[in-house]
Amino acid sequence: MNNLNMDLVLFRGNGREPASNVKTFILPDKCFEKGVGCAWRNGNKFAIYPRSQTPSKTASTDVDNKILNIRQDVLLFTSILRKLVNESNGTYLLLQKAAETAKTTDNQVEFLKLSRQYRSIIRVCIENLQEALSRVQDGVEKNNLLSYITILYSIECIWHLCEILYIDNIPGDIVLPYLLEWVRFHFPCHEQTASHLLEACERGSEDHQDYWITVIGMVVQGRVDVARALMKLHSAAETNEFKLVDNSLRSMPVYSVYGGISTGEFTITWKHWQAECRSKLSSGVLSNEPKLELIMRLITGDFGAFSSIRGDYTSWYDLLGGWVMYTAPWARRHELASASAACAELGDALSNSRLDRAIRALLDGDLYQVIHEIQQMSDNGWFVTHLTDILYHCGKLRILDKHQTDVTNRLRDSLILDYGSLLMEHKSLWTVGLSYLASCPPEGLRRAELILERMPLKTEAKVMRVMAEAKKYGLVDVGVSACVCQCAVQGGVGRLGAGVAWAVRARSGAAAGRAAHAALRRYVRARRLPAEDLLLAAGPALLLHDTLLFLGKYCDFHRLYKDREFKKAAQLLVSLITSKIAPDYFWETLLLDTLPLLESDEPVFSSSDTYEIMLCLELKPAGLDSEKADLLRLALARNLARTVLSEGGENKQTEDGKTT
Amino acid sequence: MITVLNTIDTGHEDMIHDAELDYYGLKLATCSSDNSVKIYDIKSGTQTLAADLKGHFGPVWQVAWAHPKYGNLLASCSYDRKVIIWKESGEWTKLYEYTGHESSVNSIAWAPAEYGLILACCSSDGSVSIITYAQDTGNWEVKKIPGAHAIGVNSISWCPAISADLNLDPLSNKEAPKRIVTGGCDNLIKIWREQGEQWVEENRLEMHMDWVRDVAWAPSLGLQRSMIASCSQDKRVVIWTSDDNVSWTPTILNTFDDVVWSVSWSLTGNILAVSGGDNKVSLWREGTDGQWLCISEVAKGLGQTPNDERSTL
Repeated sequence: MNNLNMDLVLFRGNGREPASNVKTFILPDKCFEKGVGCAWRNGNKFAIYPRSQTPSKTASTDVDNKILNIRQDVLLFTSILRKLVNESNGTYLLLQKAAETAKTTDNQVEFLKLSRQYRSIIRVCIENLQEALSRVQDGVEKNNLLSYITILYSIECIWHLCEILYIDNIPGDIVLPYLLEWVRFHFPCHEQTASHLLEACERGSEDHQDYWITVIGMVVQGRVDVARALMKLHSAAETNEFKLVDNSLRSMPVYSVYGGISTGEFTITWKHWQAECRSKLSSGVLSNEPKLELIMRLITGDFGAFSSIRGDYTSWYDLLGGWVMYTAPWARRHELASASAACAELGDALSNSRLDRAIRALLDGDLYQVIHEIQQMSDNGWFVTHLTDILYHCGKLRILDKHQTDVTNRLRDSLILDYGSLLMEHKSLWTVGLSYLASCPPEGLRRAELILERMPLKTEAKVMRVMAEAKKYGLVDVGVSACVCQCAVQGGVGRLGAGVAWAVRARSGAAAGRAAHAALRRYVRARRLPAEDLLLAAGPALLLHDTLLFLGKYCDFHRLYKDREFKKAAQLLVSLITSKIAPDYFWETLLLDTLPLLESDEPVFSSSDTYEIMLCLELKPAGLDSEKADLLRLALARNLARTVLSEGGENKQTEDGKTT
Repeated sequence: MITVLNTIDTGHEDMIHDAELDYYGLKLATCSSDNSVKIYDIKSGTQTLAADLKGHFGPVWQVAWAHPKYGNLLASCSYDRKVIIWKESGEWTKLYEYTGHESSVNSIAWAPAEYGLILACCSSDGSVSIITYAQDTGNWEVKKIPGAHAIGVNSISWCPAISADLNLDPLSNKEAPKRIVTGGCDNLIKIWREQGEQWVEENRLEMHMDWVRDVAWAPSLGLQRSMIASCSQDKRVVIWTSDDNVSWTPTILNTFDDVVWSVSWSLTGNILAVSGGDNKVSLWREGTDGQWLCISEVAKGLGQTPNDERSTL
């Protein structure tokens, strides 16, 4: 499953054509004979349509009018692999923290710990897959699981070797014990037979069909003690030939950094020992015992001998540990290139799988090539991203482009950005993706912003989730944009109250204005006000926009009226009328709202209020049709008559009070 | 391996000229030589025809979705010299019709939403129109660039708001000038900048040797770099880069076997899709060393079973 939005493509002029990495996807069925166009959806999805540039001259009958929605399959979205994604995310984040502290102190131990953590996550995932494999019946499903397992095995194998060569802290850099451990761990063979034979502990074990292959296997895996123990079980173990070989194996010098001797001294001893073995071989004493002779040839590092047993193993790296052990046990970890070249040439079978090439490149110390190879793996970049990241933080990665500029930083960032963007396509892994993007500022955050803004927001819960995540990374604009869009969506389907609420949440003046206008227009049309509770409680948020403020106050007027607080209602209404912030289309409603108050038993408008209303009525002749205007004029006049009288009386009274 | 999620049988009675997915990828709009615009709702593998819009009297060349903060708005442009803006409120209706061009309107593009509700369109009459919605009055105001390209303008694209002026902090600088790029039948690419009440030609990019068919300004990733892709009848695709939006450097992405009709950037601007007369869509991205590499291509089907691209180690 090759990434459509694949990796930062690495390529250098070494004769490997970049074109060979182009994946061509042939669409099913016959289509797009006359041209094709592409419409992006998001990351790994797009639509392909039969795009034509010119109008057809004749209306043809066989019109290509199908549109294909295409999605790249993403292996990581398989539910069984989700754990890998989630758990490795935790380790990744810890690693970023460790890298932060490593700037001031040496943190290699922590890096090693995290590298092991990654590997154990892969291990667990492989175990889960194997368990699932034992349960499924379906052939296709089985094949899928098997291919995931193959991929993950390879990943773990390469990672482990990488850890030994670049991350682990190896005393004296002497790599042999680690290399042997790696071989034994990843390519275990004959171990079971060996332990079985040893347990049985019977003389004449050579009758077992795998006896010799097991003994030799133990020799090339460097388990000399086991090999010797097995040889003791041979019925001819007491013969001189056996004793001679046993003696040679026993006397083999083993290097230890803490052994108190220098590598130079060790080399001399070791070469001396091997010369002895060779002279024993050439004396011909073993010519009657071909298997023993083979063992002697192997431990003297004879290429022909290794070559002859290559066919018994699936890969050349099965023999790598043995080869190093019997040719250059003092090799340091960056001196393995010649060993890997020799092993790769063993036998006739020229294997050139991706795993082969990646391991060769690793042993050659060519990390550039390693990354190039693992980028092509079918894991959607999980491996290359995490491995590159850890190598980068360990300071072990240095990639130069053709102008010799260091692009390590860019490479690492680009891989993380792609991996993060990929995860953001998934409906529940997007938050994980976000954490990757956020670790790569500034481009990562900008990408996150672009993707988050376009995340379909079907439910309010999703909106809140997106807003919370956006806030976590300081992407304020995303939250605002989400609210403003919700405001438009809710408004579009007539839920104006919700629209206003979203605008207020977004603190967007423009959106609030749009929503408030929509609400007022609907009131004019249908006499229905939205979200009164909300507006009454909105407080300072009303100041976002004049129209919203007006809407809020108008709702307040309705509340007062309903509560029969006519005096207060009337005062508010007058202030709304006189402030002149009402939109033109709302004047009629506003003026007519005075009618019932003017007609109330107790006068609620003072004479000056009445004058104000009269003034507005005359200033806005377009606001009301003449019939309604006349009605209002009449009511206003009557009210004026009432109020002038009573106010006149009151005034007089107070004046009288003053004089007396 | 890729999967065909679903196939939409559009039922258009003639050639399709454009298809665009909305902001969230939930709606698909198509337009055709049969004079109609169709809108589909795409939800989890199924699609339903939401609207069949009739209003044009000629082939419809292009459709464009506005930012959802302005509601569900779709613009379409046609050979009938008209631009129509459609709005969904309950159902789809015509919101506004612009008839200011004297010839076929070839391309339309909504401005970055930060600028407001603004649509740019370009025509075979050689001119470009910028139509702005004024919220207070509810009217559409038009500014025109006459004679933008001799013989005709084929394509138009907006500079993202965030990179409008690379020397300034884009987030705090609301006054960054608006820019658009156009490609025309005079083989030229021109960049226009709004200056006061007018649009002025800021730059002309010469490289193509035949009609420029499509131009696309890449989404900004907050980097100090602007990028434009252009394609032409001369079978070439050129990537123009600039770090100040003033001086531009061309890189030929590739010379194809046939005319290239369209270029489009992915959402995050890191992948360019190129499609043309060779019936293929190829996806390109920039390598570490600035070289452009094809990473995959989707080819027309020949009626065989799809090849399984799955590779394991």
